[in-house]
Amino acid sequence: MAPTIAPIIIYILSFITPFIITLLGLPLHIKLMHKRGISGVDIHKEDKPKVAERGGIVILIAIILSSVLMIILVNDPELRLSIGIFCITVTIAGLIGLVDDIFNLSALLKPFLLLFASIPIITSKRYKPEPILPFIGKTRLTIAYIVLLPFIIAVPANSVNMLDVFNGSMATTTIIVLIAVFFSNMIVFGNGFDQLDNSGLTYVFVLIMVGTLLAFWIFNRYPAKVFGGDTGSLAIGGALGAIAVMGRLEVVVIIAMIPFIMNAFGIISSVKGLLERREMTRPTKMTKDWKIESTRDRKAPITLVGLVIQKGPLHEKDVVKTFNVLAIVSAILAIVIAVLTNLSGVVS
Amino acid sequence: MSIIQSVSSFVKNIGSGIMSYFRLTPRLAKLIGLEIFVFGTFIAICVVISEGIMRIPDSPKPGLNFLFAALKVGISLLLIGLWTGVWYYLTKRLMKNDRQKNKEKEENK
Repeated sequence: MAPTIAPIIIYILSFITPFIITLLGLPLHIKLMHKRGISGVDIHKEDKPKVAERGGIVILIAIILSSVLMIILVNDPELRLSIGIFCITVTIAGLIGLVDDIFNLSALLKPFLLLFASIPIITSKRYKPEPILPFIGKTRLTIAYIVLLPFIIAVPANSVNMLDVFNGSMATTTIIVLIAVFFSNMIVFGNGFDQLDNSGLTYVFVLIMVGTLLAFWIFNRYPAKVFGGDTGSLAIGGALGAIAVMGRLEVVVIIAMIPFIMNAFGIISSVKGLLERREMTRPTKMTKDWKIESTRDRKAPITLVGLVIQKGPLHEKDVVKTFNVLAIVSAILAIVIAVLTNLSGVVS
Repeated sequence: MSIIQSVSSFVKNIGSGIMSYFRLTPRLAKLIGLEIFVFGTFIAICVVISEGIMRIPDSPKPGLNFLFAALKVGISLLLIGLWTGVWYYLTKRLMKNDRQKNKEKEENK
């Protein structure tokens, strides 16, 4: 039997391990992608640089390796299983993204396949069909929950994918969501860092994701040296969904993801259904001074970016900042939800 | 460069960073408003469920009790569904209105 390791060490390692793996892995990945000619043009820059693609592969590897390390370090078999299930769920979502990056899946097939990412959680029963709501407390949904569960994974995955359009936008906004989830977990379940139980595991998942994303952001921020691709965005979105279900923070994650969902609503309502990014008319174009402005094309999807730039063109960095402001507001609201849940005294 | 100079330039950089965020906030007034509205209506629904639907007493008859419980869950889910629908509709309206305004602006030019 492995020696018991203090939870705080596990928390620290769950942040540092993926951070280092991603930090060391991405430069190698960038070199390899350029060597193989797998790069995309960054159309928002004047010199149209070629940027390495599929950085999500490193994100996925970092999450898998960190999860394996946590499985080795944690003593409780139940917790080990939960970490394994989290890892498998994220891997399935990431692999669907990888297949999409390589073969370009249709706009309907991708979300449909993502519904299957929840199978490991359902079959291993790593969920409680009792979402916690403020004032109400635990609600028993049993059958309805199982029906909704695949969507709790697929919707965040697709929403994150839809907002991954500018340098650093996905990394910063999801880090903000994860920080909100971290504090909400602390508030709702009143957990410190001195023990590692089911709600403590949420810290582990969040820290793995923040560690990975922080290192990814270093290479993906303006001007980007690597794009995450669908592999990265679907893996991260899938992870958010898995954290929501396994950490029993469904409502907190929904509220923290309001900007992502609004963007998805806008796109779906304007193009009347699901369309792949490649099939849609571009909603933005560049000005002479390389700012982003709306194309005003009626066929183009209405996105969050479109709303942000309607008062005038903005530099790419500023567009990402506006996304961050929206994410910060919804993160604060998510934490308020957690406080209200705690104040209602409905979680025992 | 002395330590004091480094610290002061660091603080200045952070300050200007925060200011650049604040400068962008007026553009987002409507979106932030919608975020707060979505949040507020969700809280309102929770209060309605907690103080209204959950107060429906349980029935001593098992069959009837099951029906009551199913009804409670059904109404609650309906309210949440309605909330999502309103959220979708408002987002759509907000985005379409803005596109309309943009078009009018273009035509006036």
